[in-house]
Amino acid sequence: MGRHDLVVLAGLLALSILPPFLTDYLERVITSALLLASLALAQNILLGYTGYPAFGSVAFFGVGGYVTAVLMKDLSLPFPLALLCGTLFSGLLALLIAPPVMRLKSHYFAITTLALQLALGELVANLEVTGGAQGINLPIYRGPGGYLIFYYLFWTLTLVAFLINAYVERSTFGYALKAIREDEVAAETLGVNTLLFKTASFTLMALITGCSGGIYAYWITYIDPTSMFDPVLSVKMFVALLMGGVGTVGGPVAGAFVLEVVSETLWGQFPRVHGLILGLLIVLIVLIIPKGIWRRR
Amino acid sequence: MVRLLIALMVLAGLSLAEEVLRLGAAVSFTGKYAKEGELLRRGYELWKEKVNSMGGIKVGNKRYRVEIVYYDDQSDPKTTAKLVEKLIVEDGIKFILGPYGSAQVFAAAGIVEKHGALMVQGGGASSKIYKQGYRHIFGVFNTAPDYGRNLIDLAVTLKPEPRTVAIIYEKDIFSEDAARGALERAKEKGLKVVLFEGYPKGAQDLSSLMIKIRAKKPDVVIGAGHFRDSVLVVKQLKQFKINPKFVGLTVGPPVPAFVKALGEDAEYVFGPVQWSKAFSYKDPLFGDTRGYVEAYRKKYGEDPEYHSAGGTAAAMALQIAIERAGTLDVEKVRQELLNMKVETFYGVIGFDETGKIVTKPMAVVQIQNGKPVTVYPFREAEPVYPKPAWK
Amino acid sequence: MDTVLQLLVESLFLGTFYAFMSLGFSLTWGVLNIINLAYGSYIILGAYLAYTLHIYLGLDPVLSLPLSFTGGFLLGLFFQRFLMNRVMNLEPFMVLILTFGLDIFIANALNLIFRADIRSIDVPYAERSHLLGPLIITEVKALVFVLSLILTALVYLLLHRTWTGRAIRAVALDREGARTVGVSPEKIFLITSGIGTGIALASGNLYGVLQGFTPFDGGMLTVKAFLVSIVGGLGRVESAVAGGLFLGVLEVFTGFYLGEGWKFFASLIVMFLFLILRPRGLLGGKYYGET
Repeated sequence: MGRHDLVVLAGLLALSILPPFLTDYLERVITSALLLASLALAQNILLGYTGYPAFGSVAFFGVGGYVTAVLMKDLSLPFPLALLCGTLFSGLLALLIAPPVMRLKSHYFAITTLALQLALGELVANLEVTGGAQGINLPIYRGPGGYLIFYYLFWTLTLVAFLINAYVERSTFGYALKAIREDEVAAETLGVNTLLFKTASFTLMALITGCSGGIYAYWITYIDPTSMFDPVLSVKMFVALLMGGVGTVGGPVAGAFVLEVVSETLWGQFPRVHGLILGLLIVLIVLIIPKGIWRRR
Repeated sequence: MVRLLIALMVLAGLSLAEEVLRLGAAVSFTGKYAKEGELLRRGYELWKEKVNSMGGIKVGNKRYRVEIVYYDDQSDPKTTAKLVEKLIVEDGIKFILGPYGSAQVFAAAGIVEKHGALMVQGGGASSKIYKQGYRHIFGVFNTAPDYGRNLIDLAVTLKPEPRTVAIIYEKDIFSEDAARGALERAKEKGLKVVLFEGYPKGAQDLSSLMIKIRAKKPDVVIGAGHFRDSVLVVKQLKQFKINPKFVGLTVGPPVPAFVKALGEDAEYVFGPVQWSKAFSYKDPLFGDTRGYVEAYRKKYGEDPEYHSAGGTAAAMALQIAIERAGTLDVEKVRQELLNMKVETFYGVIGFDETGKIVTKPMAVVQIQNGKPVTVYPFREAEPVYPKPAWK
Repeated sequence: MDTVLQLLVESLFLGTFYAFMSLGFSLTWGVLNIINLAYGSYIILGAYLAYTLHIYLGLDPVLSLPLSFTGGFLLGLFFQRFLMNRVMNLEPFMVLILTFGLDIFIANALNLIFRADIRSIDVPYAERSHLLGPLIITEVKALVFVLSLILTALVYLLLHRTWTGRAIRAVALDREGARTVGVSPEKIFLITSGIGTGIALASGNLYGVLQGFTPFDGGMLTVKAFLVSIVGGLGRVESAVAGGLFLGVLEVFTGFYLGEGWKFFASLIVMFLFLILRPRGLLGGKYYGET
């Protein structure tokens, strides 16, 4: 971890003692930022270290969220258990589809995962058990701490994802991933079991993303297929990642906070042109960010 | 002279009510439900002006002038949820007037409940809204199955008696609920249901359904959906030269824009309504139903239909409960809503413990000479049946 | 039997439209190696253009086809010159993000101007239809079918019978090789982007006649264009026709037998499977593009 990453870590730790000083509104903004940071960090394992852009990683966000929601609603499972199931189910799904999907490269890989995301959204919209296109209202959290609990849940998830990234950065596991990123064929010849490592990194991404989706569903209370499988969320996550720096540990968190604060402020001030500015921002970021950031700084 | 008087009354009202009570509403001004959302807003606005002209809402010894903060949810439930959360958390509003559409109400309900705010709504009829165990949601619409039941109840009284029915619906909690009401009632009455099928929300091409209906030649076609769906179904029935004896559609027919959009093709289509201007009740604000209709005509230049009336009724119920509670405490106002049984232009308003209205009937209108007239359960005019073929 | 026949006719009509609609997407992908996620929004842009011309000038969307194409052509030149040229050497994935941003931008701009209401172009023949034995032929669908057929043929002639067309195909096969025989790939990129965007906007006219639309319908159309391109293989007109008919049959039959709600799901699953199993499409072969 570099100096920048340590600053981000310090900031992250500081967030744990911040809530008493926050208004409801700010608490909500930071919770959203932490959510986005957890997604960006998850993607970073795959894109940053392994070099595969899973454009549709939000598929696992939706799966995690919906599994959690359905289990709580229909089987009255307690939240921790439902969340665990949602997370594991996302991981399992990733494990199953990784081998065929990860044979594809670059934009083919990206589009394939995006197709999966949209397809799962359509599937959920057509099934009875998921409440169809109408969506589901989850039970309302009435336990101790009120909605602050979600702030801490996302904070914990982000911290865990951060530490995983830090571990990947300097472990043998991480070196194997980076070898795949730099030259997959060479890695293979050197005896790296690329399929195994690619699958592992894909599944790790899906676990974190799925967990994030589960927490989100309970936090936001009302979910529907378009909000849980939203391509705009995928793009926001990538923009956060690009802004912060792909393949760095702290970058995704910093990017997520900057983007979320900008985006929330815009939304609060100019709800009508918010989408317009978001689109413009994405275009500008791709144009402005030098190619260098693509690879590790 | 009259204008001057009104101006004076408004001024008097303003000076009496120095404090402001802000209510919030996320309503569809754009998107699929833009027409219905605009009608709902008119209902709220008419109520607001009336209340403010009478000095505002009386809470204990104080009078509050009413302001309504509106946001456009673009007919998208997740946006509704986000906006209602903004109204409660950022704008600090405790009393929410409902959005239009069951899916939107459903989404808003979870948020209102979560934050312990209170919502009275006249825009969502799905029974699913009341099955969540929520304590802070009240609605002045009879639940959706009543829409379908009333259409079938009317159809079976007509001669020559219809024998077969096709039911199509938008996949949405309101429409599916309404379609199921029709399905069950049709079976009870011994009609043969030859088609019961949904199509996705927002679909703009119903060709595959039309091909099916065309092959089955049903006597009755019931379409459950919203305004846009009503228009689409009529257009496509005509396009596919399908001529049933009875066409009954939810939501669209009473809305003035329905006739505007379809012209002559709108003739003789039936539609269930929550309220019609042919009702006759006394009212604490407008005198009686006729007083309401006149006030509405004066402000908007056309007759009110039930989407506006539902909005006014919901806001009135909230107002009456606040005034009776004599406080802005959410729990006390809620208690007054539960205790309420009051006659208004809209009918008697009273809620069961789940928050849904249980004290008023519905009706069915038919478009005749470009106007919706009530034909069931009482008759402003005789229903025209069987429906002539499309021109 | 009558029903199946009717469904086949519907598939043919719809499929031919999809073929034409997707030509631009397929062409820019095949020649420039750009997967343009904003493509669907270009189509919707065309639909709004036709809508506006119909409302204010009373111009029939069929008559405004050349205007839409020209507008699209210029827009395509503009985007290529000021946007795409800057990112063509980047990681292709970055181009995806860029075009998605563009898609969000266009959809929201349309939403700001026209609001999220469902619009439809109410041509006088919208509800007319004719009986043909057991079949019912709706006038708008037949019209869109015939126009799509003609326009697709025109694109074919353009690619095969003109110098520009041959140059486009040459660049697609081998950029540097084309340069050695005096064709400037940069110029061809500009022209291809123009033609592709022109086709998108022109097909928007037809789409607007077929059904109602909102600013946010572009994403779904992009997926359709993508599916058509990948089923048939890139860049060739014949491939797009094959892909279009495939999608037409897929949509009409799943819509009828499984329910309208499953149509889009079926398309997406097929697209997913194609990407995994046969990313080069059914007709296979590298004709255009190196990917």
